[in-house]
Amino acid sequence: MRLLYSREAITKMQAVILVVIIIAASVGAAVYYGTLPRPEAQPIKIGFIGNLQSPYSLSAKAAAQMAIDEINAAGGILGRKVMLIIEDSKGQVPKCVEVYKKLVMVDRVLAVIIAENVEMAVAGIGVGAELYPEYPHILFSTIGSGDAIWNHVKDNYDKYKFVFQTYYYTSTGYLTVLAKEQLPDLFKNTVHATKVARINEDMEWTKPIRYGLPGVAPPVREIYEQQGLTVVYETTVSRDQKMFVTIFEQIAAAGAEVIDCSVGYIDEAAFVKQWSESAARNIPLYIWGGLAGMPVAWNLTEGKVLGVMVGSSLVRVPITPKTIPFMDNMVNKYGTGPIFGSHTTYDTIYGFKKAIEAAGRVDDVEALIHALENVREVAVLGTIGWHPRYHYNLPYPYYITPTIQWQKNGAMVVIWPSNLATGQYKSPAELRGG
Amino acid sequence: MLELLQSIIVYSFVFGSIYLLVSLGFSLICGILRIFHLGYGLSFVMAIYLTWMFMTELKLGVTLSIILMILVQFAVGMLIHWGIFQRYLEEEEKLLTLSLLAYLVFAHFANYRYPITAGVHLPTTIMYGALSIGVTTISYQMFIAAITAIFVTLVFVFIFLKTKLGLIMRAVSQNLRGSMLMGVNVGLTYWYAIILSTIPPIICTLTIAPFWSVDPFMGESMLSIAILIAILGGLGNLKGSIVASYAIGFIHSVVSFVYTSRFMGLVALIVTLIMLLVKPEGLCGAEKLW
Amino acid sequence: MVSLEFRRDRIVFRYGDQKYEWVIEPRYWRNPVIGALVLMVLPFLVYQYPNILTMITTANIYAAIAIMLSLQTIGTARLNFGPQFYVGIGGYTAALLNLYFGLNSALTLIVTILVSLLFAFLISPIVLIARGLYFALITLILPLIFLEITFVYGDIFRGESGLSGIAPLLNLGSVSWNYLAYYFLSLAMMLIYLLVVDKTMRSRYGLAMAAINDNEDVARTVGVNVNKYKILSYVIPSVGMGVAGWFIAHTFRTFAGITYLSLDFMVKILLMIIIGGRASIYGSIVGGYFVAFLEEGLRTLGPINYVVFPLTLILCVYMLPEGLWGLYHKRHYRDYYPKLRVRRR
Repeated sequence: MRLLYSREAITKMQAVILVVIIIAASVGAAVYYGTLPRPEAQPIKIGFIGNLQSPYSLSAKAAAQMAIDEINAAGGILGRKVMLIIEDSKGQVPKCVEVYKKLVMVDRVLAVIIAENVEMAVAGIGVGAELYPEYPHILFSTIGSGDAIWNHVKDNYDKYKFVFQTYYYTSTGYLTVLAKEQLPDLFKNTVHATKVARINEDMEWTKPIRYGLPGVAPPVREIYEQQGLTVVYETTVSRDQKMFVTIFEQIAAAGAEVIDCSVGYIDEAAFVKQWSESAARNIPLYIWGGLAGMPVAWNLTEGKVLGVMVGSSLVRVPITPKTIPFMDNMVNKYGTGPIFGSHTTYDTIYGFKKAIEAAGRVDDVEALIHALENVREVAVLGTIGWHPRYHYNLPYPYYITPTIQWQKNGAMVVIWPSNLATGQYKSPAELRGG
Repeated sequence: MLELLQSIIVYSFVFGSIYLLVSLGFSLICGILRIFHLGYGLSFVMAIYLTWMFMTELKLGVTLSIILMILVQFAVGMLIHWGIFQRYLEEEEKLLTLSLLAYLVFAHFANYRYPITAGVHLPTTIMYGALSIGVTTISYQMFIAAITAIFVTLVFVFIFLKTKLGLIMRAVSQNLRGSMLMGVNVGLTYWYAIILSTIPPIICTLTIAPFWSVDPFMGESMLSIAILIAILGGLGNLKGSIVASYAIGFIHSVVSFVYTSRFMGLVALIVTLIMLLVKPEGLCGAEKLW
Repeated sequence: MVSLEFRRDRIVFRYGDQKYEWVIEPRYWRNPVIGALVLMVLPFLVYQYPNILTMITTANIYAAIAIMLSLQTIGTARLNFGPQFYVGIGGYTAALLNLYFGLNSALTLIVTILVSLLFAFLISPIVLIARGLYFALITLILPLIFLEITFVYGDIFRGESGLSGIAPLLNLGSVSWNYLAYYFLSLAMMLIYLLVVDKTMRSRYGLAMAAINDNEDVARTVGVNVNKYKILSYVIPSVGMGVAGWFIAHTFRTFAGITYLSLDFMVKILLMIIIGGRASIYGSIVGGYFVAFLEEGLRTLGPINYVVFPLTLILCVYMLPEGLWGLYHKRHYRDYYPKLRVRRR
């Protein structure tokens, strides 16, 4: 039976303290907004939106700041300084839409960089398309993966032509280069395996891999069969799955000789840890990308990642003269070196700089778009340039993601491409036994 | 066909045991204190990140860090009981939100201090390698985790069936007023229950860290497993938890082998929903501890 | 005969031989009218900062969801842990209809209302069958299942990218006018919900709901049709939440399950109710604006704000037992809040 009146009345002191907190928070917000820079003509402004709770966005932010500092130290673009305005989307779409509007309408940025997952980039595309007729700008997505972003440009160029996507790979790249030439070559000639087990993660970016792209390529399974490999097992895992041992059990029972994993967002530490002591532990494992390619994976998995092959852009090889200095400077700026999103952000900014210089002016965004479609600039991972019609960055051989294998004592040995290789492939059994 | 059956049985056993260890503490709190501890994931996250903090910042050894972590967890559990459970036992929505917020505070703190690039891991592997049971191969650590789970459950069952403290706890969970009439110190029993319920998550985390995922927000997945098992078996019912964990382990195992492992979680959710509609008390009856 | 009469202190509406009166109490309506006027004037102070405009539009939408949730909680005598389920249904319906069938926003509104009505009626028997805690658990699980389905049927729902390119609510030419219009529409939606819920609580429906909340069996003996009230109190707020989802889809032009069907969103809405005041209607608005402004204000702290945000909320819950609304509302009237215990009834 409830009491009629509440006895826990708040004391006057508590009420005062609380009101002070509320007023302080509001004043803080008001001061923050009151001191927003008024639209100025001089510096070139670039906006940055990321989820500052996630290490990927944080590393991209550090890379962006590093690029801007370097450009300003070298004299800026067209003689003008560049200013980076950083906003936090907190991983929520309404917040992302909010800060996007602020950057474009209030700060009048020339370009917005969204260094976050696909959902945020798609939300940004929506808002950007709405704002573009009155506030022309450019949108770069540097961490969002998959086709959802550049499909917008493909389907409606006039509405979405301001959108550019930079990522380590695209679906057409996966289907026409990775699955058609690079991986069959690796499996047949280096690993000496013809029976492949495939694992896909159930996300948007693997849809072309699982079902093919009409007009471009069939699903990866068929591409492998065409290249002389046999797919003995294929399955899908969900992003928040924790238990993979049953899959390895079935893979071993199917007699596979190599495991090909189109994964990037699942918990790869658990995946690798479970693989290394499962029925499939002597079957070579190839991961397309993700956590397993980060230097920290060795510690995370207590060395159980030994023998795993993974596509990684975080290995210390000089793909271009910019690669090693970039990695070293990122350690100074970010503390642990680059992780996903930092290369793409850094390269995008430099590519944008070259496009502005090629166009010669910043007030005509259409000319800038045209320049971006034709630019080629030396990047950390190769050459940065964008597809003239679809606005995704050009894949291999322009943008390179080497394949590494984890070998003794945490060494990340590059086994592909051959001009960057630092060692030979060894089977997991050999690495463990020897 | 026979190999498939054998694999399914072995993995049901392994999964079920691990899930049992995960949900033991939750069922305890649910049964004795009659509250839904939405901040249950806190024990798991603290087990990993506190130990890591003691190991790397205070430079203590593994064993010492673990002991210190256990003591800190007892203290935090008691703090949460005093600050949240005792105060808001009558206002459930505040209790639920506050316990969830407590978990969020620590998880975000761990994420801020030790993001993915810090490489947090616990060197608590007891045995490396894998063993073969017929056609299935299980890593030793997984097997040890399953055996530990069963051992801990047996200890708890012994406590509840054979000791006086267990008798008191069962009485409190069945009929609060009756126990008070019999002279039970309910407040003290609650303290004991909180301490007891912190132990299974710690043991669980220490044994499964070598093969489970370790990240600051792992408490959410642990909590959802615990909630599913609690619902399926009957809220707060220990016997129900045991039965339900193996049932869910079986479901996960069957779905993985016969269909695709991608649907493990969805099938378990739907089965639980059906159970909630058809027989809400769960498999073994709710609102009593045994 | 249908007629509308304006008297000095009431509005009378006659239909045939039935008479409906709405008594206007100026003293009662003074503060809400002042509040509404403040909210209507607010955008003109901040419209040159479109992000603040978006923030208060979002706050309005969240407050509307919270208001409907309050009505549902009080009316069904159960705590609903899954209000985001209907937001998801409304949002996805609007998005799918617009993208695949090209319907404009007015038509999608009608279909959204119908679809939410259908789902709410299908799920409403649970209100009658399930007791307090079990109802909360079922509503907790439903959005998670929906989220899984959006991933499994990713061809339609687009998984984690979400559906995008949804047509806007209306197009006034200039973008700034659009955003201003969105704010006023969201404000209108929230005020309409507020009006409806407030009048309901003060009518004999509200009295019946209070009786049900206090003691269902006694209410049944007195003659209150418990089942009818419970189902109505479940269905109508669910439709309201579906409409809020429709609004979100058309205002932000993108809708993804990950944002709106997850536990974070649920925690936010629940926090608005709790901090605003235990299921008090006006408190939800205060709670919504407080949470929105708190998030903004803490941003200046940098990445540590993710830790400070829950800490501040814990502090608020401790220090404000009646919520923020309790600071204003001096009269602590009888509390209709439902219980949810793991006990026998």
